[in-house]
Amino acid sequence: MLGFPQKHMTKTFMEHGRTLTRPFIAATTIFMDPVFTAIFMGLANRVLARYQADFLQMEGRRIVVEVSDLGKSLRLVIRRGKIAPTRAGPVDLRIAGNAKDLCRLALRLEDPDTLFFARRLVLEGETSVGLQLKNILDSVDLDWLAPVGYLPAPLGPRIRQAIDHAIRNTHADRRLHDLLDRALQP
Amino acid sequence: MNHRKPELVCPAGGLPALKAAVDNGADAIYIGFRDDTNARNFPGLNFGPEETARGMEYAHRAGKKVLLAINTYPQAHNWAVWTSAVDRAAELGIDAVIMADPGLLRYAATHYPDLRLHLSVQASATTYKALEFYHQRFGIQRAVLPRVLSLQQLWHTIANSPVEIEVFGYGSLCVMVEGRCALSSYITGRSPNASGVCSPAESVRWEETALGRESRLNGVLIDRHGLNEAAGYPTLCKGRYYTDAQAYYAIEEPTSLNILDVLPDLFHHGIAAIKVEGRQRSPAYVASVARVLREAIDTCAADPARYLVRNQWTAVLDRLSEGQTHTLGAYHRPWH
Repeated sequence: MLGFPQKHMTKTFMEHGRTLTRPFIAATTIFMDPVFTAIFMGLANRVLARYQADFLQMEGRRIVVEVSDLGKSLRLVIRRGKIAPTRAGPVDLRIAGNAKDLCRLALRLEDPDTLFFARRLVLEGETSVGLQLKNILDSVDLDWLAPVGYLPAPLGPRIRQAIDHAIRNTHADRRLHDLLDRALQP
Repeated sequence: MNHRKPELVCPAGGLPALKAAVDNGADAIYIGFRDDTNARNFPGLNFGPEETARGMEYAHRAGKKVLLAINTYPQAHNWAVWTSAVDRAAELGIDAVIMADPGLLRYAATHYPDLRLHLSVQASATTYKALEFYHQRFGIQRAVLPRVLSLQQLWHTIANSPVEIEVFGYGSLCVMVEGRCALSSYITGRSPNASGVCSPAESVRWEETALGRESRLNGVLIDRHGLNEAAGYPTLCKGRYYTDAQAYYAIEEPTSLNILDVLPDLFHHGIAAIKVEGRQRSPAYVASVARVLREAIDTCAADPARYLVRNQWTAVLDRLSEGQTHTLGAYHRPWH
Protein backbone atom coordinates (compact mmCIF):
# COMPACT_ATOMS: atom_id res chain seq x y z
CA MET A 1 0.00 0.00 0.00
CA LEU A 2 1.18 3.48 -0.76
CA GLY A 3 0.24 6.74 0.91
CA PHE A 4 0.47 9.89 -1.18
CA PRO A 5 0.57 13.32 0.40
CA GLN A 6 -2.00 15.88 -0.74
CA LYS A 7 0.74 18.55 -0.67
CA HIS A 8 2.21 17.54 -4.01
CA MET A 9 -1.12 17.86 -5.81
CA THR A 10 -1.81 21.34 -4.51
CA LYS A 11 1.57 22.44 -5.74
CA THR A 12 1.00 21.24 -9.28
CA PHE A 13 -2.45 22.85 -9.22
CA MET A 14 -0.80 26.21 -8.52
CA GLU A 15 1.84 25.68 -11.18
CA HIS A 16 -0.52 24.82 -13.97
CA GLY A 17 -3.41 26.99 -12.85
CA ARG A 18 -2.98 29.43 -15.69
CA THR A 19 -3.21 26.86 -18.46
CA LEU A 20 -6.69 25.65 -17.54
CA THR A 21 -9.36 25.80 -20.18
CA ARG A 22 -13.07 25.92 -19.53
CA PRO A 23 -14.43 22.71 -21.12
CA PHE A 24 -12.02 20.56 -19.17
CA ILE A 25 -12.82 22.26 -15.89
CA ALA A 26 -16.51 21.78 -16.63
CA ALA A 27 -16.11 18.13 -17.68
CA THR A 28 -13.88 17.25 -14.77
CA THR A 29 -15.91 19.16 -12.20
CA ILE A 30 -19.11 17.45 -13.34
CA PHE A 31 -17.39 14.08 -13.19
CA MET A 32 -16.06 14.79 -9.71
CA ASP A 33 -19.48 15.73 -8.35
CA PRO A 34 -20.54 12.88 -6.05
CA VAL A 35 -24.00 12.53 -7.62
CA PHE A 36 -22.60 12.42 -11.16
CA THR A 37 -19.78 10.15 -10.06
CA ALA A 38 -22.40 7.69 -8.79
CA ILE A 39 -24.29 7.89 -12.11
CA PHE A 40 -21.10 7.44 -14.14
CA MET A 41 -20.07 4.49 -11.97
CA GLY A 42 -23.46 2.88 -12.54
CA LEU A 43 -23.13 3.32 -16.29
CA ALA A 44 -19.50 2.22 -16.29
CA ASN A 45 -20.32 -0.95 -14.36
CA ARG A 46 -23.06 -1.80 -16.86
CA VAL A 47 -20.70 -1.33 -19.78
CA LEU A 48 -17.92 -3.18 -17.98
CA ALA A 49 -20.12 -6.07 -16.78
CA ARG A 50 -18.70 -8.39 -19.43
CA TYR A 51 -15.19 -7.77 -18.11
CA GLN A 52 -16.07 -8.99 -14.62
CA ALA A 53 -13.51 -11.79 -14.78
CA ASP A 54 -10.78 -9.18 -15.34
CA PHE A 55 -12.08 -7.02 -12.51
CA LEU A 56 -12.18 -9.98 -10.15
CA GLN A 57 -8.43 -10.33 -10.70
CA MET A 58 -8.06 -6.79 -9.35
CA GLU A 59 -10.38 -7.40 -6.40
CA GLY A 60 -9.86 -5.06 -3.46
CA ARG A 61 -7.45 -2.72 -5.26
CA ARG A 62 -7.76 0.94 -4.35
CA ILE A 63 -7.02 3.47 -7.05
CA VAL A 64 -6.71 7.24 -6.96
CA VAL A 65 -7.05 9.34 -10.10
CA GLU A 66 -5.59 12.80 -9.54
CA VAL A 67 -6.42 15.72 -11.78
CA SER A 68 -3.23 17.58 -11.03
CA ASP A 69 -4.15 21.00 -12.44
CA LEU A 70 -7.49 21.05 -10.63
CA GLY A 71 -6.11 19.73 -7.38
CA LYS A 72 -8.92 17.19 -7.29
CA SER A 73 -8.87 13.45 -7.01
CA LEU A 74 -11.21 10.56 -7.44
CA ARG A 75 -10.83 7.52 -5.21
CA LEU A 76 -12.04 4.18 -6.44
CA VAL A 77 -12.06 0.62 -5.20
CA ILE A 78 -12.68 -2.60 -7.08
CA ARG A 79 -15.13 -4.65 -5.08
CA ARG A 80 -16.97 -7.82 -6.15
CA GLY A 81 -15.86 -7.27 -9.75
CA LYS A 82 -17.20 -3.70 -9.91
CA ILE A 83 -15.83 -0.19 -9.56
CA ALA A 84 -17.08 1.83 -6.60
CA PRO A 85 -16.16 5.21 -5.14
CA THR A 86 -14.32 5.08 -1.84
CA ARG A 87 -13.02 7.40 0.86
CA ALA A 88 -9.51 8.60 1.59
CA GLY A 89 -6.94 6.05 2.65
CA PRO A 90 -3.91 4.23 1.34
CA VAL A 91 -4.00 3.30 -2.35
CA ASP A 92 -2.49 0.55 -4.52
CA LEU A 93 -2.33 2.59 -7.72
CA ARG A 94 -2.02 6.29 -8.38
CA ILE A 95 -2.84 7.77 -11.79
CA ALA A 96 -2.20 11.49 -12.28
CA GLY A 97 -2.47 13.88 -15.19
CA ASN A 98 -3.98 17.23 -16.10
CA ALA A 99 -7.70 17.64 -16.83
CA LYS A 100 -7.21 17.99 -20.58
CA ASP A 101 -5.10 14.85 -20.95
CA LEU A 102 -7.38 12.78 -18.71
CA CYS A 103 -10.44 13.94 -20.71
CA ARG A 104 -8.69 13.04 -23.97
CA LEU A 105 -7.78 9.63 -22.53
CA ALA A 106 -11.35 9.00 -21.39
CA LEU A 107 -12.63 9.84 -24.90
CA ARG A 108 -9.93 7.60 -26.40
CA LEU A 109 -8.53 10.52 -28.38
CA GLU A 110 -5.14 9.98 -26.80
CA ASP A 111 -2.77 7.07 -26.47
CA PRO A 112 -1.78 6.57 -22.81
CA ASP A 113 1.71 5.29 -23.67
CA THR A 114 2.32 8.50 -25.64
CA LEU A 115 1.35 10.61 -22.61
CA PHE A 116 3.50 8.43 -20.41
CA PHE A 117 6.57 8.81 -22.67
CA ALA A 118 5.96 12.59 -22.73
CA ARG A 119 5.84 12.60 -18.89
CA ARG A 120 2.29 13.92 -18.88
CA LEU A 121 0.87 10.83 -17.21
CA VAL A 122 1.98 9.42 -13.89
CA LEU A 123 1.48 5.81 -12.87
CA GLU A 124 2.70 4.74 -9.45
CA GLY A 125 2.06 1.62 -7.41
CA GLU A 126 0.82 -1.65 -8.88
CA THR A 127 1.69 -1.28 -12.56
CA SER A 128 -0.19 -4.46 -13.52
CA VAL A 129 -3.47 -3.03 -12.19
CA GLY A 130 -2.94 0.15 -14.22
CA LEU A 131 -2.11 -1.84 -17.34
CA GLN A 132 -5.08 -4.14 -16.92
CA LEU A 133 -7.44 -1.18 -16.45
CA LYS A 134 -5.98 0.53 -19.50
CA ASN A 135 -6.36 -2.58 -21.62
CA ILE A 136 -9.95 -3.15 -20.49
CA LEU A 137 -10.91 0.45 -21.26
CA ASP A 138 -9.21 0.15 -24.66
CA SER A 139 -11.12 -3.00 -25.48
CA VAL A 140 -14.61 -1.71 -24.61
CA ASP A 141 -16.46 -1.74 -27.88
CA LEU A 142 -19.37 0.66 -27.59
CA ASP A 143 -22.04 -0.53 -29.97
CA TRP A 144 -24.55 2.32 -30.08
CA LEU A 145 -26.67 0.52 -32.65
CA ALA A 146 -27.15 -2.68 -30.65
CA PRO A 147 -30.69 -1.70 -29.45
CA VAL A 148 -31.77 -1.13 -33.08
CA GLY A 149 -30.58 -4.59 -33.99
CA TYR A 150 -32.86 -6.07 -31.29
CA LEU A 151 -35.99 -4.71 -32.99
CA PRO A 152 -38.11 -7.49 -34.51
CA ALA A 153 -36.71 -9.01 -37.69
CA PRO A 154 -36.56 -8.20 -40.53
CA LEU A 155 -37.07 -4.54 -39.59
CA GLY A 156 -34.39 -4.22 -36.85
CA PRO A 157 -31.48 -5.84 -38.68
CA ARG A 158 -32.37 -3.97 -41.87
CA ILE A 159 -32.50 -0.56 -40.20
CA ARG A 160 -29.26 -1.36 -38.46
CA GLN A 161 -27.62 -2.35 -41.71
CA ALA A 162 -28.85 0.85 -43.38
CA ILE A 163 -27.43 3.00 -40.56
CA ASP A 164 -24.18 1.01 -40.67
CA HIS A 165 -23.88 1.66 -44.40
CA ALA A 166 -24.69 5.35 -43.98
CA ILE A 167 -22.01 5.73 -41.28
CA ARG A 168 -19.50 3.88 -43.41
CA ASN A 169 -20.25 5.83 -46.59
CA THR A 170 -20.20 9.25 -44.98
CA HIS A 171 -17.33 8.43 -42.58
CA ALA A 172 -19.55 10.02 -39.94
CA ASP A 173 -17.75 8.30 -37.04
CA ARG A 174 -14.34 9.41 -38.28
CA ARG A 175 -15.59 12.97 -38.77
CA LEU A 176 -17.01 13.03 -35.25
CA HIS A 177 -13.70 11.72 -33.92
CA ASP A 178 -11.75 14.41 -35.81
CA LEU A 179 -14.14 17.12 -34.64
CA LEU A 180 -13.69 16.09 -31.00
CA ASP A 181 -9.95 15.78 -31.51
CA ARG A 182 -9.73 19.34 -32.86
CA ALA A 183 -11.98 20.72 -30.13
CA LEU A 184 -9.79 19.11 -27.45
CA GLN A 185 -6.38 19.80 -29.01
CA PRO A 186 -3.52 18.37 -26.96
CA MET B 1 11.52 -6.25 -60.28
CA ASN B 2 8.25 -6.09 -58.41
CA HIS B 3 6.56 -2.71 -57.99
CA ARG B 4 3.38 -3.87 -56.33
CA LYS B 5 2.06 -1.64 -53.56
CA PRO B 6 3.00 -3.19 -50.21
CA GLU B 7 0.30 -4.24 -47.78
CA LEU B 8 -0.06 -2.15 -44.63
CA VAL B 9 -0.21 -4.51 -41.63
CA CYS B 10 -1.43 -2.88 -38.39
CA PRO B 11 -1.61 -4.15 -34.80
CA ALA B 12 -4.72 -4.56 -32.67
CA GLY B 13 -4.85 -5.45 -28.97
CA GLY B 14 -8.64 -5.25 -28.91
CA LEU B 15 -11.74 -4.77 -31.03
CA PRO B 16 -11.70 -0.93 -31.02
CA ALA B 17 -8.07 -0.92 -32.21
CA LEU B 18 -8.95 -3.40 -34.97
CA LYS B 19 -11.80 -1.16 -36.10
CA ALA B 20 -9.51 1.89 -35.95
CA ALA B 21 -6.99 0.06 -38.16
CA VAL B 22 -9.65 -0.94 -40.70
CA ASP B 23 -11.19 2.54 -40.75
CA ASN B 24 -7.85 4.28 -41.18
CA GLY B 25 -6.40 2.32 -44.05
CA ALA B 26 -4.81 -0.94 -42.88
CA ASP B 27 -4.86 -3.76 -45.44
CA ALA B 28 -4.39 -6.41 -42.77
CA ILE B 29 -4.66 -6.42 -38.98
CA TYR B 30 -2.70 -8.77 -36.74
CA ILE B 31 -4.08 -9.89 -33.42
CA GLY B 32 -3.40 -12.43 -30.67
CA PHE B 33 -5.48 -14.69 -28.44
CA ARG B 34 -5.82 -13.93 -24.73
CA ASP B 35 -3.03 -16.22 -23.53
CA ASP B 36 0.71 -16.78 -23.68
CA THR B 37 0.63 -18.11 -27.26
CA ASN B 38 1.59 -14.64 -28.50
CA ALA B 39 4.36 -12.17 -27.76
CA ARG B 40 2.08 -9.52 -26.18
CA ASN B 41 0.66 -11.51 -23.29
CA PHE B 42 -0.48 -8.54 -21.16
CA PRO B 43 -3.35 -8.48 -18.63
CA GLY B 44 -6.65 -7.42 -20.23
CA LEU B 45 -5.16 -7.31 -23.73
CA ASN B 46 -6.00 -9.40 -26.82
CA PHE B 47 -8.93 -11.27 -28.30
CA GLY B 48 -11.31 -13.82 -26.79
CA PRO B 49 -13.40 -16.06 -29.08
CA GLU B 50 -16.26 -13.56 -29.41
CA GLU B 51 -14.02 -10.56 -30.13
CA THR B 52 -12.07 -12.57 -32.71
CA ALA B 53 -15.26 -13.51 -34.58
CA ARG B 54 -16.57 -9.92 -34.48
CA GLY B 55 -13.20 -8.50 -35.50
CA MET B 56 -12.97 -10.87 -38.46
CA GLU B 57 -16.48 -9.97 -39.55
CA TYR B 58 -15.68 -6.24 -39.36
CA ALA B 59 -12.41 -6.59 -41.28
CA HIS B 60 -13.70 -8.98 -43.91
CA ARG B 61 -16.73 -6.79 -44.60
CA ALA B 62 -14.29 -4.00 -45.44
CA GLY B 63 -12.19 -6.36 -47.57
CA LYS B 64 -9.30 -6.48 -45.07
CA LYS B 65 -7.44 -9.49 -43.71
CA VAL B 66 -6.97 -10.67 -40.15
CA LEU B 67 -3.68 -12.32 -39.20
CA LEU B 68 -3.16 -14.15 -35.93
CA ALA B 69 0.14 -14.24 -34.05
CA ILE B 70 0.88 -17.58 -32.36
CA ASN B 71 4.50 -16.62 -32.18
CA THR B 72 5.85 -17.78 -28.83
CA TYR B 73 7.54 -21.12 -28.21
CA PRO B 74 5.56 -23.93 -26.56
CA GLN B 75 7.32 -26.09 -23.97
CA ALA B 76 6.86 -29.82 -23.59
CA HIS B 77 4.34 -29.47 -20.75
CA ASN B 78 2.08 -26.93 -22.49
CA TRP B 79 2.26 -28.04 -26.11
CA ALA B 80 -1.53 -28.62 -26.29
CA VAL B 81 -2.28 -24.96 -25.48
CA TRP B 82 -0.42 -23.91 -28.63
CA THR B 83 -1.88 -26.58 -30.92
CA SER B 84 -5.35 -25.70 -29.69
CA ALA B 85 -4.70 -22.07 -30.71
CA VAL B 86 -3.76 -23.30 -34.20
CA ASP B 87 -6.93 -25.45 -34.29
CA ARG B 88 -9.10 -22.44 -33.37
CA ALA B 89 -7.36 -20.24 -35.96
CA ALA B 90 -8.08 -22.79 -38.68
CA GLU B 91 -11.70 -23.24 -37.60
CA LEU B 92 -12.27 -19.47 -37.56
CA GLY B 93 -10.85 -19.06 -41.05
CA ILE B 94 -8.06 -16.66 -40.04
CA ASP B 95 -6.36 -15.31 -43.18
CA ALA B 96 -2.87 -16.26 -41.99
CA VAL B 97 -1.13 -17.41 -38.81
CA ILE B 98 2.17 -15.83 -37.80
CA MET B 99 4.35 -18.48 -36.17
CA ALA B 100 7.94 -19.08 -35.10
CA ASP B 101 8.27 -22.52 -33.52
CA PRO B 102 9.26 -25.20 -36.08
CA GLY B 103 7.31 -27.90 -34.23
CA LEU B 104 4.17 -25.82 -34.31
CA LEU B 105 4.72 -24.87 -37.95
CA ARG B 106 4.91 -28.59 -38.72
CA TYR B 107 1.70 -29.21 -36.77
CA ALA B 108 -0.12 -26.49 -38.72
CA ALA B 109 1.26 -27.58 -42.10
CA THR B 110 0.30 -31.23 -41.46
CA HIS B 111 -3.17 -30.69 -40.00
CA TYR B 112 -4.27 -27.63 -41.97
CA PRO B 113 -2.55 -27.59 -45.35
CA ASP B 114 -4.81 -24.72 -46.50
CA LEU B 115 -3.91 -22.47 -43.58
CA ARG B 116 -1.62 -19.69 -44.78
CA LEU B 117 1.58 -19.48 -42.72
CA HIS B 118 3.73 -16.41 -42.10
CA LEU B 119 7.08 -16.77 -40.39
CA SER B 120 7.17 -14.55 -37.30
CA VAL B 121 9.96 -12.13 -36.54
CA GLN B 122 10.43 -14.28 -33.40
CA ALA B 123 11.83 -17.06 -35.62
CA SER B 124 14.78 -14.74 -36.20
CA ALA B 125 15.36 -15.91 -39.78
CA THR B 126 17.76 -13.41 -41.33
CA THR B 127 19.03 -15.15 -44.48
CA TYR B 128 17.27 -16.37 -47.61
CA LYS B 129 18.72 -19.83 -46.91
CA ALA B 130 16.83 -19.90 -43.61
CA LEU B 131 13.68 -18.78 -45.44
CA GLU B 132 14.19 -21.55 -48.01
CA PHE B 133 14.24 -24.05 -45.17
CA TYR B 134 10.96 -22.84 -43.65
CA HIS B 135 9.42 -22.64 -47.11
CA GLN B 136 10.43 -26.17 -48.14
CA ARG B 137 9.57 -27.80 -44.81
CA PHE B 138 6.39 -25.99 -43.83
CA GLY B 139 5.25 -24.11 -46.91
CA ILE B 140 5.42 -20.65 -45.36
CA GLN B 141 4.26 -17.97 -47.78
CA ARG B 142 5.66 -14.88 -46.09
CA ALA B 143 8.38 -14.01 -43.60
CA VAL B 144 8.66 -11.06 -41.24
CA LEU B 145 12.31 -10.13 -41.02
CA PRO B 146 14.00 -9.16 -37.74
CA ARG B 147 15.13 -5.55 -37.46
CA VAL B 148 18.81 -6.45 -37.70
CA LEU B 149 19.47 -6.22 -41.44
CA SER B 150 21.00 -3.26 -43.23
CA LEU B 151 19.18 -2.15 -46.40
CA GLN B 152 21.80 -3.88 -48.59
CA GLN B 153 21.27 -7.14 -46.71
CA LEU B 154 17.51 -6.68 -47.01
CA TRP B 155 17.67 -6.20 -50.81
CA HIS B 156 19.84 -9.32 -51.12
CA THR B 157 17.40 -11.34 -49.02
CA ILE B 158 14.35 -10.16 -50.98
CA ALA B 159 16.04 -10.87 -54.32
CA ASN B 160 16.77 -14.49 -53.36
CA SER B 161 13.82 -15.27 -51.08
CA PRO B 162 11.33 -17.96 -52.10
CA VAL B 163 8.62 -16.19 -50.08
CA GLU B 164 7.11 -12.70 -49.68
CA ILE B 165 8.98 -10.39 -47.32
CA GLU B 166 7.38 -8.23 -44.64
CA VAL B 167 9.40 -5.66 -42.72
CA PHE B 168 8.73 -3.39 -39.78
CA GLY B 169 7.88 0.13 -40.87
CA TYR B 170 7.10 1.90 -37.65
CA GLY B 171 7.12 1.27 -33.91
CA SER B 172 9.14 0.75 -30.78
CA LEU B 173 12.51 -0.86 -31.18
CA CYS B 174 13.89 -3.37 -28.76
CA VAL B 175 17.43 -4.63 -28.58
CA MET B 176 16.66 -6.10 -32.01
CA VAL B 177 17.63 -9.70 -31.53
CA GLU B 178 14.06 -10.89 -31.82
CA GLY B 179 13.54 -14.50 -30.98
CA ARG B 180 16.98 -14.73 -29.42
CA CYS B 181 16.59 -12.28 -26.54
CA ALA B 182 16.52 -13.67 -23.01
CA LEU B 183 17.68 -10.46 -21.28
CA SER B 184 14.49 -10.00 -19.28
CA SER B 185 14.68 -13.53 -17.88
CA TYR B 186 17.84 -12.58 -15.97
CA ILE B 187 15.91 -10.05 -13.95
CA THR B 188 12.26 -11.19 -14.00
CA GLY B 189 12.61 -14.92 -14.66
CA ARG B 190 10.46 -14.57 -17.79
CA SER B 191 11.35 -14.06 -21.44
CA PRO B 192 9.35 -13.07 -24.54
CA ASN B 193 9.87 -16.43 -26.25
CA ALA B 194 8.47 -18.57 -23.46
CA SER B 195 6.05 -16.24 -21.67
CA GLY B 196 5.13 -13.80 -24.40
CA VAL B 197 6.29 -10.87 -22.34
CA CYS B 198 9.47 -9.07 -21.42
CA SER B 199 9.19 -6.80 -18.39
CA PRO B 200 5.93 -8.34 -17.10
CA ALA B 201 3.78 -5.63 -15.50
CA GLU B 202 3.89 -7.19 -12.04
CA SER B 203 7.68 -6.71 -12.05
CA VAL B 204 7.51 -3.04 -13.11
CA ARG B 205 7.39 -0.15 -10.64
CA TRP B 206 7.53 3.56 -11.35
CA GLU B 207 8.09 6.17 -8.71
CA GLU B 208 8.04 9.93 -9.07
CA THR B 209 10.81 11.29 -6.86
CA ALA B 210 12.46 14.67 -6.40
CA LEU B 211 15.12 13.52 -8.89
CA GLY B 212 12.58 12.40 -11.51
CA ARG B 213 10.79 9.23 -12.53
CA GLU B 214 12.51 6.07 -11.33
CA SER B 215 11.83 2.83 -13.21
CA ARG B 216 12.40 -0.42 -11.39
CA LEU B 217 12.29 -3.93 -12.75
CA ASN B 218 11.89 -6.53 -10.03
CA GLY B 219 13.30 -4.01 -7.55
CA VAL B 220 16.34 -3.16 -9.66
CA LEU B 221 16.68 0.48 -10.69
CA ILE B 222 17.02 0.52 -14.50
CA ASP B 223 16.52 4.21 -15.25
CA ARG B 224 15.79 7.62 -13.83
CA HIS B 225 14.24 10.26 -16.07
CA GLY B 226 14.74 13.93 -15.24
CA LEU B 227 11.70 16.18 -14.90
CA ASN B 228 10.86 16.77 -18.56
CA GLU B 229 12.96 14.06 -20.12
CA ALA B 230 11.07 11.84 -22.59
CA ALA B 231 10.77 8.26 -21.39
CA GLY B 232 10.35 4.81 -22.93
CA TYR B 233 9.21 1.33 -21.98
CA PRO B 234 10.73 -0.18 -18.81
CA THR B 235 12.75 -2.94 -20.45
CA LEU B 236 16.15 -4.07 -19.33
CA CYS B 237 17.66 -3.30 -22.75
CA LYS B 238 16.52 0.33 -22.57
CA GLY B 239 17.84 1.07 -19.08
CA ARG B 240 20.74 3.40 -18.40
CA TYR B 241 23.81 1.86 -16.82
CA TYR B 242 27.09 3.05 -15.41
CA THR B 243 30.10 2.17 -17.49
CA ASP B 244 33.30 4.09 -16.70
CA ALA B 245 31.36 6.08 -14.08
CA GLN B 246 29.02 7.46 -16.72
CA ALA B 247 25.37 6.46 -16.94
CA TYR B 248 24.01 6.05 -20.45
CA TYR B 249 21.98 3.76 -22.70
CA ALA B 250 24.65 1.10 -22.90
CA ILE B 251 22.47 -1.48 -24.72
CA GLU B 252 19.67 0.27 -26.60
CA GLU B 253 18.13 3.74 -26.68
CA PRO B 254 14.40 4.23 -26.27
CA THR B 255 13.34 5.24 -29.77
CA SER B 256 11.02 4.20 -32.57
CA LEU B 257 11.76 2.85 -36.01
CA ASN B 258 10.39 4.92 -38.89
CA ILE B 259 11.00 3.85 -42.52
CA LEU B 260 9.21 6.72 -44.29
CA ASP B 261 12.59 7.96 -45.58
CA VAL B 262 13.28 4.74 -47.50
CA LEU B 263 9.76 3.93 -48.67
CA PRO B 264 10.52 4.32 -52.43
CA ASP B 265 13.46 1.91 -52.07
CA LEU B 266 11.23 -0.65 -50.32
CA PHE B 267 8.73 -0.34 -53.19
CA HIS B 268 11.49 -0.66 -55.76
CA HIS B 269 12.87 -3.86 -54.25
CA GLY B 270 9.42 -5.44 -54.01
CA ILE B 271 8.63 -5.55 -50.32
CA ALA B 272 5.29 -7.36 -49.85
CA ALA B 273 4.15 -5.79 -46.61
CA ILE B 274 4.99 -3.10 -44.09
CA LYS B 275 4.25 -3.85 -40.48
CA VAL B 276 3.44 -1.52 -37.62
CA GLU B 277 4.54 -2.54 -34.11
CA GLY B 278 2.31 -2.11 -31.07
CA ARG B 279 -0.48 -4.51 -30.14
CA GLN B 280 -0.08 -3.11 -26.62
CA ARG B 281 -0.96 0.40 -27.79
CA SER B 282 -4.38 2.08 -27.77
CA PRO B 283 -6.90 2.51 -30.61
CA ALA B 284 -5.82 6.20 -30.82
CA TYR B 285 -2.24 5.14 -31.65
CA VAL B 286 -3.36 2.58 -34.23
CA ALA B 287 -5.64 5.13 -35.92
CA SER B 288 -2.92 7.82 -36.16
CA VAL B 289 -0.16 5.50 -37.39
CA ALA B 290 -2.41 3.72 -39.90
CA ARG B 291 -3.56 7.03 -41.32
CA VAL B 292 -0.03 8.40 -41.78
CA LEU B 293 1.36 5.20 -43.31
CA ARG B 294 -1.67 4.80 -45.59
CA GLU B 295 -1.13 8.30 -46.93
CA ALA B 296 2.61 7.79 -47.31
CA ILE B 297 2.23 4.44 -49.10
CA ASP B 298 -0.43 5.82 -51.46
CA THR B 299 1.64 8.94 -52.17
CA CYS B 300 4.68 6.81 -52.92
CA ALA B 301 2.69 4.42 -55.11
CA ALA B 302 1.31 7.31 -57.16
CA ASP B 303 4.76 8.62 -58.06
CA PRO B 304 7.80 7.09 -56.28
CA ALA B 305 10.23 9.45 -58.04
CA ARG B 306 8.60 12.56 -56.60
CA TYR B 307 7.87 11.10 -53.19
CA LEU B 308 8.91 13.28 -50.25
CA VAL B 309 8.32 12.66 -46.55
CA ARG B 310 5.88 15.30 -45.30
CA ASN B 311 6.80 17.08 -42.08
CA GLN B 312 3.28 16.48 -40.82
CA TRP B 313 3.75 12.68 -41.04
CA THR B 314 7.00 12.79 -39.10
CA ALA B 315 5.48 15.08 -36.48
CA VAL B 316 2.52 12.75 -35.88
CA LEU B 317 4.74 9.66 -35.67
CA ASP B 318 7.43 11.24 -33.46
CA ARG B 319 4.82 12.37 -30.97
CA LEU B 320 3.68 8.76 -30.55
CA SER B 321 7.23 7.42 -30.36
CA GLU B 322 9.13 6.04 -27.45
CA GLY B 323 11.63 8.69 -26.37
CA GLN B 324 9.72 10.90 -28.86
CA THR B 325 12.38 10.39 -31.52
CA HIS B 326 12.81 8.07 -34.48
CA THR B 327 15.57 6.18 -36.28
CA LEU B 328 16.14 4.03 -39.32
CA GLY B 329 17.73 1.49 -36.99
CA ALA B 330 19.86 -1.20 -38.59
CA TYR B 331 18.51 -0.34 -42.07
CA HIS B 332 20.77 2.68 -42.01
CA ARG B 333 23.89 0.80 -41.01
CA PRO B 334 26.70 1.41 -43.52
CA TRP B 335 28.59 -1.77 -42.56
CA HIS B 336 27.27 -5.30 -42.98
